[in-house]
Amino acid sequence: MNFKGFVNMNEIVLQTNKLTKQYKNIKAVDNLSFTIKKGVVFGLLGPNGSGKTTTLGIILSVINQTSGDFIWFGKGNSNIQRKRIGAILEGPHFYENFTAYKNLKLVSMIKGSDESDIERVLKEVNLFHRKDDKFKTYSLGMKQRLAIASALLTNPDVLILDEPTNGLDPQGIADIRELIINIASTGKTIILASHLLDEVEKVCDEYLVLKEGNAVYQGMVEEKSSSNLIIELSSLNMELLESVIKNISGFISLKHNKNTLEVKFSNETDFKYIAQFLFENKVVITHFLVIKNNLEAQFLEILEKNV
Amino acid sequence: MFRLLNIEFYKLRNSKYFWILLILFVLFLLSVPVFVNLFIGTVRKSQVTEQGRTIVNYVSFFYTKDLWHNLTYIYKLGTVLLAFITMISITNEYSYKTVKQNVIDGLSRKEFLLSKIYMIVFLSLFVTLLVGIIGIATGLLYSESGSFLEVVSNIKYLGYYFLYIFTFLLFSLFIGNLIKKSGIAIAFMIFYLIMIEPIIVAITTYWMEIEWLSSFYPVNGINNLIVNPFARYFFKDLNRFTVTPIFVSIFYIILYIYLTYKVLKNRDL
Repeated sequence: MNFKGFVNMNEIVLQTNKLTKQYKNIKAVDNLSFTIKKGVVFGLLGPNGSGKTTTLGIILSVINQTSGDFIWFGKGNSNIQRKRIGAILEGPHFYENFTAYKNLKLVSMIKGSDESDIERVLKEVNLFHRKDDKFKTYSLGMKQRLAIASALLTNPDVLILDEPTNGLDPQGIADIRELIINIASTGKTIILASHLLDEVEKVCDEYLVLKEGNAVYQGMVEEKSSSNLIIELSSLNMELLESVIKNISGFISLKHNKNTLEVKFSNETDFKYIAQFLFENKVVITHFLVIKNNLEAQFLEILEKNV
Repeated sequence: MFRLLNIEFYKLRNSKYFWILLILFVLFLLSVPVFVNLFIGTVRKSQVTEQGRTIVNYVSFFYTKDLWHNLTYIYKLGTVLLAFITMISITNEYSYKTVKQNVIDGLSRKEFLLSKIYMIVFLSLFVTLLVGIIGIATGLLYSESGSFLEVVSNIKYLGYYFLYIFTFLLFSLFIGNLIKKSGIAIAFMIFYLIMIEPIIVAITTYWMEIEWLSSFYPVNGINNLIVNPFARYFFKDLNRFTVTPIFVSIFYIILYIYLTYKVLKNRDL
């Protein structure tokens, strides 16, 4: 019996089956099937307009799919299941004239949860001191944090965040990321849609790349086997550098940048070996940067392959 | 049911427009008997022509038999304020995208619509009760006879009034949900009331000469629940009330609920 392919149904949070959303002239989501396991931070990655928000809209029942279906917690896709999910879609949506507290009170009334939970989530996102201020007086970062607080109400099993750092300043971005990592450490399943690759790389375990509504890649963030090693180099003597570097085993290609050389090696090549080889050939290195092996490169590679 | 009503009521009672429009409406209700009484008194005391005095004496607004009909007829004018409450309450959900968030947070679309409908039921009942209390108080204070039994003798108009309000507010909910933008929805409603339907009525009644058809239009049909009572003072011949408007109302109640649900269900939020 192949245990690798065997997945306990209790461990599956969401399963979609051939989801399709056809708008008049465009297929926003095209035959999309994927599975999300419990406790995973799942990244939905793709350029703007690739169908990320439409996909999230469908699994949250605010967008009616043209065909296909999905199932939450192995049970169904009614509002009963949605009460176990905390989600923000396309930014924070609240009643402008309500205070933060009243907005959360309303959410807890809908979820049927206890009012006492509001204080906890407001403290978690560091907004408790502003709880009696109206939502419309909040800055964008605070609005985004309030949305996360709202999603955290009733301690949901799954958290869905759509571009949670969109429009935030660097401090705001750092705060939100820390918050997500903290939440993930409590064992919650998180689905994160983003077009920011380093965001997904920093917080996600698993990711799915969408392109024009199709899943073009699904994998673990740590899997790097398929990618090559790319190094950016410069030297006092660029001609020498170029002639020497071509002789290193594993060399694939090079590209001239403004003041540097971008060199591609096979993924088995150890960059320490490269450095040593250059040193032995008396090439004086003034700049040495490993730029490959990150998600961005993988991502671009995947997108290129699927043109 | 109470959970949904509670949710909707929480939204309303924290909204300024709701209180402003509701207070305006209550003031309107209260002011009508007071002003009518003041007006009649002034005319009686003044040296108007004999003919004018006869008319005023004749139009016994507070005459117990006519009181409910007269009062509810004038009160129909205030319905537009309640219609605004209904339309803003639904269009705001679209402009703040809170309908979407409500669904994400765990309300089904059906529950969302039910919360609005329950509120309309509640608001219609509340307003009817208020009109009932004002009517009884007015009857006891101003009418000539003043016995309680006589005052409530024609209270069936309160029932028609409830049906009128309820149907009209469901119509407003349907328009608000369909149009989604509060300004456009309100403008459309006003335009429909004063332009579109009167023109259609004129065309079918006077030009095409199909008089009965106008009893089935959305607004005209329910207007017939409480026809103009003042005509009786001049022509002594009031079109007899038929049961048709009751059926027309019930038909539209079902239609509006059905169509609003259809639109909400099939729409991407």
